[in-house]
Amino acid sequence: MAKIPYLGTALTNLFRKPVTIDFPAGEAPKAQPNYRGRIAFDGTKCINCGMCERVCAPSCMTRVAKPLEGGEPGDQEITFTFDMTSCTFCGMCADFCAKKAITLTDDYMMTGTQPEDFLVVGKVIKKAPPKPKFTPEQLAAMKAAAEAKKKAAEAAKAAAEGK
Amino acid sequence: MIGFIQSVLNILLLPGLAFTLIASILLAGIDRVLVARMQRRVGPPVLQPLYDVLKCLGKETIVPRKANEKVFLLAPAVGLISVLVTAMFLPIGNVSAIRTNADMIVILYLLTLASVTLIVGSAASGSPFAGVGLSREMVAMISYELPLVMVMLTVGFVCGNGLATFSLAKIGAYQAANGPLLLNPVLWPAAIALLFVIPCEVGQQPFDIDEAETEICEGVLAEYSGKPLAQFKMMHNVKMYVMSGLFCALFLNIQTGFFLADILIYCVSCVLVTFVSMSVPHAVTARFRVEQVFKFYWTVVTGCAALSLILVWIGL
Amino acid sequence: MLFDLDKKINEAIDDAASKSLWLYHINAGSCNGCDIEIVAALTPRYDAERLGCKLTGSPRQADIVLVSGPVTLQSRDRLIRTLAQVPEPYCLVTVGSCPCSGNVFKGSYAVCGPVDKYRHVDVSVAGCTPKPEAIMAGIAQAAAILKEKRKGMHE
Repeated sequence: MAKIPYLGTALTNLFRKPVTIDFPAGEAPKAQPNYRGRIAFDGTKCINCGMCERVCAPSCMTRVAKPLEGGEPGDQEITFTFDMTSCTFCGMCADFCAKKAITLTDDYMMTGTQPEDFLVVGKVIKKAPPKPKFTPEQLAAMKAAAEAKKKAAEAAKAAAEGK
Repeated sequence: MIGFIQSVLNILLLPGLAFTLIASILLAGIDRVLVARMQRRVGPPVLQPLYDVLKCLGKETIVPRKANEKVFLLAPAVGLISVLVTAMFLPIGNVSAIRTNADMIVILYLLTLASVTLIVGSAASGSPFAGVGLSREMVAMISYELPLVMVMLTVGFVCGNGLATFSLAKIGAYQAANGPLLLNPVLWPAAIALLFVIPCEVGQQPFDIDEAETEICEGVLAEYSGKPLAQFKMMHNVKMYVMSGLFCALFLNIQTGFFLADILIYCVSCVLVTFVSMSVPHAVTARFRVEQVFKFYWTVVTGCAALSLILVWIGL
Repeated sequence: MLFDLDKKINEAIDDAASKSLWLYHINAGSCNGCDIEIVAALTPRYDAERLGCKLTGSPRQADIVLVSGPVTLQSRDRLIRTLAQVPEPYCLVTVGSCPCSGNVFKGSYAVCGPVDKYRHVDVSVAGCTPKPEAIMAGIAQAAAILKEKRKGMHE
């Protein structure tokens, strides 16, 4: 009669502990090191260069800019939205991020009933450049005044030498 | 009057309906847990077959447009009733719900009827997958019927004193006098043959060629949903109990004189038979192909059964 | 008393609806990554059978339909036809990023959009591919929804 493979294994397994993890009841196991999971976005580090948007293959992120409420005129609030249902978790955005504002965490538990459950939203506040102290007209006037002063000084000097 | 009440209670409660339903669900659950443990899994709860059946009861019943509605819906009910009636003939110790002079022939016919309802039901569902499953179920029937009859004949010859008996009560009485038939080495090939017949008759994993879910979309059950499916699933569970109970009645009928002890021994031996004949092959082997099943049953299993029959016939 | 029994049986059936989950898997043009992870969820390490899961071969017996893949032009009609054959109550669970959004395949001439364009999606499991734990968490979430659906059916 043919030998039955795995018969011994099956029978000894009866008296061994199951290898099953205690997951849906207990805690979810940690992912392996360097696992690329849900994206984390740090808005304070971002400089809004837009590199992440360029390298994203499934174009999973959107950038919306709107004027900042209660800020100086010219300030912008830029909203980064990462759609986890679109993401392939390739990590390109994190690699290309100059300021390391995008990181891929080890959180792989992404289940939900609505599209909103999968969005990672981050806000970047882009300040308008600081206002110059003097307007161009004032600057021109000051320049002209300085020139006139210089000329006057030179004339005075020439007069003194000529004496 | 007391006799009448007792026989009604026998039919409804102890060796009969209630015991059969509870035992079959527990047996099927234990089988699933054992298979899981042999694969180093935790496995489902023991009551999982009950949940499956209840869930199927709560689902919508869809009758396909091409199906013959009456046959499609009635076949599972007939199948379930036939296996439940089969269970009535199984003795626990020396008590059985119904006893006749030819129990085994009735059991044989009712078990065949259960398989035939699967065939009829799938034929009525009008699905090509069910058609393939139907033909496979027929092949399975051709494979296991002959060894099953031969095993029954062998046991009948041993217990009948020269004349074959088909009464399970007489077989039980013989075993009460001479010890269980499993201790008789001449009958070991027949016992092995019956152990192999059980999974094919039930349609359990390595021999479930008729419901191969990965190949032919559940085969005979392809179009069934809701209540008819619940009946077929329940039929599967009860069949499992009936077949292991049949093995106990034929080979392992141990009578102590105390009814409670008899019940306990019967339950334990049913679980053992289920473990050996169904759980272990399920955990160890993958599904056989149709012609492999056919070849295996007509060579090895029929050979074993025939060996015992010949040995008994020449009077060893 | 008879009325009470009826109520109790209904409660038992509701309970069973969340404990017995038969999975039917539709591949709507997937790359096979998610399909492998679904099978991995049934292996001894994860053992989805603890939740009562079993892979069935027929959509007629499914409680949870797992869809993977971005729904290609070829598979769209088959997907809709198969989903129409699943008896109520059932849950539609999408596995992976593709059926939710199209992932890297979005915009292709051969891909006709996310699954929720055609049917209501109950639970989505994101990830490319999701880990088996995430699929099991999605199935557990779907089990609770199934119970609510079943309650809604007889009330």
